[in-house]
Amino acid sequence: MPANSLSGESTATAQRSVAERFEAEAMPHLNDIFRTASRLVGDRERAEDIAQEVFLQAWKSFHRFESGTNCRAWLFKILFHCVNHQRRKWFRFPLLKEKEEFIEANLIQPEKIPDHLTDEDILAALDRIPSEFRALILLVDVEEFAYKEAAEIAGIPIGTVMSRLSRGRKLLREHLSSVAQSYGIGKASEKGAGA
Amino acid sequence: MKDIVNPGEDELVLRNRLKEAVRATQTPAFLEARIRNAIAAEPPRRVWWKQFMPAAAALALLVVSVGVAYQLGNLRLTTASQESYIASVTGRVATLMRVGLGDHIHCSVFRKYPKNAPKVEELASNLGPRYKALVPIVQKHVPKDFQLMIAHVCAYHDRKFLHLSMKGDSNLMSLVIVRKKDSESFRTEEMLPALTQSGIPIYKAGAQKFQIASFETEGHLVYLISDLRSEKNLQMMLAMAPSVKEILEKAKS
Repeated sequence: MPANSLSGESTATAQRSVAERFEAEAMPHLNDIFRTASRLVGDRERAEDIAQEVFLQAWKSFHRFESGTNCRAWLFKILFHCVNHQRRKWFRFPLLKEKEEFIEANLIQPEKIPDHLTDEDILAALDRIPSEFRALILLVDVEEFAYKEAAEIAGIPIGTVMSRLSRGRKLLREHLSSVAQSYGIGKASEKGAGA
Repeated sequence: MKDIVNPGEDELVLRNRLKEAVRATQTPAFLEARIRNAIAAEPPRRVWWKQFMPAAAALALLVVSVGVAYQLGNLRLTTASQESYIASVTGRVATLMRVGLGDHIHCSVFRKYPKNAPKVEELASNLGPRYKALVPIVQKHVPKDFQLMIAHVCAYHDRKFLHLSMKGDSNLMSLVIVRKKDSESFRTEEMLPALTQSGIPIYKAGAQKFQIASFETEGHLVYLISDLRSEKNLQMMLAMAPSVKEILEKAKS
């Protein structure tokens, strides 16, 4: 058998083994990546493109991934990189600093959250939160990453994770209270009861 | 409709509701297939350099080994590189010590030895009747694993030397004797002897792996140079110095 055919075989075997590893370690996280992408960009089609981009990039740089380490966190890191890249392409976002200052100034004491809200109400409230805060709520509260992991994924200091998370949660509660009030629950119903 | 009173519990409930709501998002069935197709069209990047890592490591090790060996005087194939090595080593010891050390490196270190040692009688005859008695003295005092490989008169830097060279398993040793020139003396060099027990002041020096023990007679400088421990080298010289001195004095008369 010629030598080049042997080397061709070994290359094919190596590629097969990489593909098997990728299948076992990366592909099971597709749902997590897609739903987070979907909530981050607010558009299913874009989320599909981004999810595909995430897995393609992960595949291309899979040789850099150390087997046995946290593949899910690695994929989320790629996701955040892709989303930020796409955002820079699509929009010009206001600086977060301005946004944070605005939120600090306008944040009110959150209302108690009624428990009858639908998933759609909750998701609508989530989507109204500025993306930087929403991203951390998704990472920590939904995907259950530790603060340290979330900091690494989002590429920000852990203190910033905690402060943005706290503000994001307050905003979410505030938006949910507004939804409840629009249904005539909460303050409005309390007023009614008081009258 | 019930409002949750406990804020901690309220927060927890909110997070659970949020988690459920987000996780209810369905991934389109075709997306997985689409991603698999995209991946199939894209071969994974191979880390080409990883394949060469063992070879690169071996090469680096080889380069380092060759470098170290060269610094230690091995692989000096040209006369110029041998001379530069001798100069670099002898430059670290006193002037009078350089004489014997230079000849040892020149004649013993940069030499290919035969597999089997020549006959002792042959070697002794090379030294002539006046100095052949040095052979048994040397053989008596050096460790048993050392074999006499050379006994001859050699020349280095325009000086003649009586040179007896011995080879151990991985060590070399030379007894080098040279006639004094001008006013050469350890005393005029203001060197302090390391030992004086036998009544003969023995001087010592060391450079790289070479240990030198030396003494002088009225007309000669005598060096024992080896790559053994300094103390061992010194003790051997101390033991053979009286006999060697006697032979040299006899030869002079």
